[in-house]
Amino acid sequence: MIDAALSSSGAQVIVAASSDENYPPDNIINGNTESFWISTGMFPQEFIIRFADAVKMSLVTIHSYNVKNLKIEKSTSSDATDFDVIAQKEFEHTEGNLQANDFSLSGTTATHLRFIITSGYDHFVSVHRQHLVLRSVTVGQSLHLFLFLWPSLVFSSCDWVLAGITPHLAIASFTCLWSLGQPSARFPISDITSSLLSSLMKRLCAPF
Amino acid sequence: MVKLRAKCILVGDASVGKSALSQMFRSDGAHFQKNYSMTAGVELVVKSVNIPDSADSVELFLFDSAGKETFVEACEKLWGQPSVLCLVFDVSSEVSFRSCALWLDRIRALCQGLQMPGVLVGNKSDLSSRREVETAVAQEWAQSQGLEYHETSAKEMENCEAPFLSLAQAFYTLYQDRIQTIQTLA
Ligand SMILES: Nc1nc2c(ncn2[C@@H]2O[C@H](COP(=O)(O)OP(=O)(O)OP(=O)(O)O)[C@@H](O)[C@H]2O)c(=O)[nH]1
Ligand SMILES: [Mg+2]
Repeated sequence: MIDAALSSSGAQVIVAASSDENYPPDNIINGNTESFWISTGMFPQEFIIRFADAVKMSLVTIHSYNVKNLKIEKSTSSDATDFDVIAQKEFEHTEGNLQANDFSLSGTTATHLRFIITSGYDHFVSVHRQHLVLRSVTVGQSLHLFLFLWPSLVFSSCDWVLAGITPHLAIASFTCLWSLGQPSARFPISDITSSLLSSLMKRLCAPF
Repeated sequence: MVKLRAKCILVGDASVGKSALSQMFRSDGAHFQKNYSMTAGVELVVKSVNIPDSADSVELFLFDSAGKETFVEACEKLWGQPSVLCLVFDVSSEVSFRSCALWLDRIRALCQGLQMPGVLVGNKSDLSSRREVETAVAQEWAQSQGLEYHETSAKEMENCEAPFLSLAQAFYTLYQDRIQTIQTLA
């Protein structure tokens, strides 16, 4: 799974309408649901996530509590202006459980995402995790994009990789990465172990 | 350190003293308007209240609303999702006390089951010779409705801050409860 909306991928929360220093907005993008950001009263509430680079997104998942209406806007500018609404949803009330809601974004590109909570099931709402799946690579898309995606790939999802690209391109990219040898500064591939690499190799070569 | 924000709606019959109370609160008791000037919509007063024994505060957004029926519908639209309720009547007017039940129904319908801290305020306690609502009666009804009861006199600057301080405190307590609940979920 690829998660570009993680602080470890260079994403940042640059604005949040309210904040308690014990539950800072960074908790939204630290990748776990145990820590959270909580609103401190009244609606609407919003937060903006900035990505290290423009990203192409297929799916965003929000883990929250007591959020009723959520609107997502995107910006493609570098300074977080000109937002357009791209999705809107009324969440179900899940007393005693976190809410998990998916928004399908069909490959839209953005540098910033703004989340606006227009109403809640309670005075205070919390957001625990925001998870973003980048769009899978399709034939004809640049190798660069694939390389960009590569470091965050979890190799158990090889089928996903294969579904998105032709074996030929996969091999090409793979070889390219392989030949790079050392993890590059921009795309650290530290979590690729050799066993994972060889198992991936096998699966990629299977069609031949 | 946290600063909470609460939308406090002030409701009750016309001329019971809602604007007088909110102006007293805003000006720390420096401003009492003797002449009646009817509120035709919603007047906003914003003031921060410190929570005792903490570094935390609650910023109250008082929505001083019109009591006159013809304006109420427009007010409801402005209230949106209120955080806390301040329901006011005039202790020298039995009618204004009776209306409180109607006001409460109206607000409960708006809040759809959302738990909302509230206070009942009996204002104009200085008019003792014209009193029509006994403290005990008001107190009992407030309790039955889950409201905290306060008696005030905007004119004599008596106890005017108390209802707002208690609302801020109740909202703060609610916040702490919610954090506890949420921590058990994750
Ligand atoms: N004696 C006395 N008069 C008061 C007190 N508080 C307000 N008044 C007077 O009552 C009248 C009405 O007060 P407002 O504060 O305007 O009443 P309101 O509830 O805001 O009325 P609407 O805006 O029409 O809903 C004014 O003439 C005030 O001076 C009080 O504690 N004692
Ligand atoms: Mg008024």
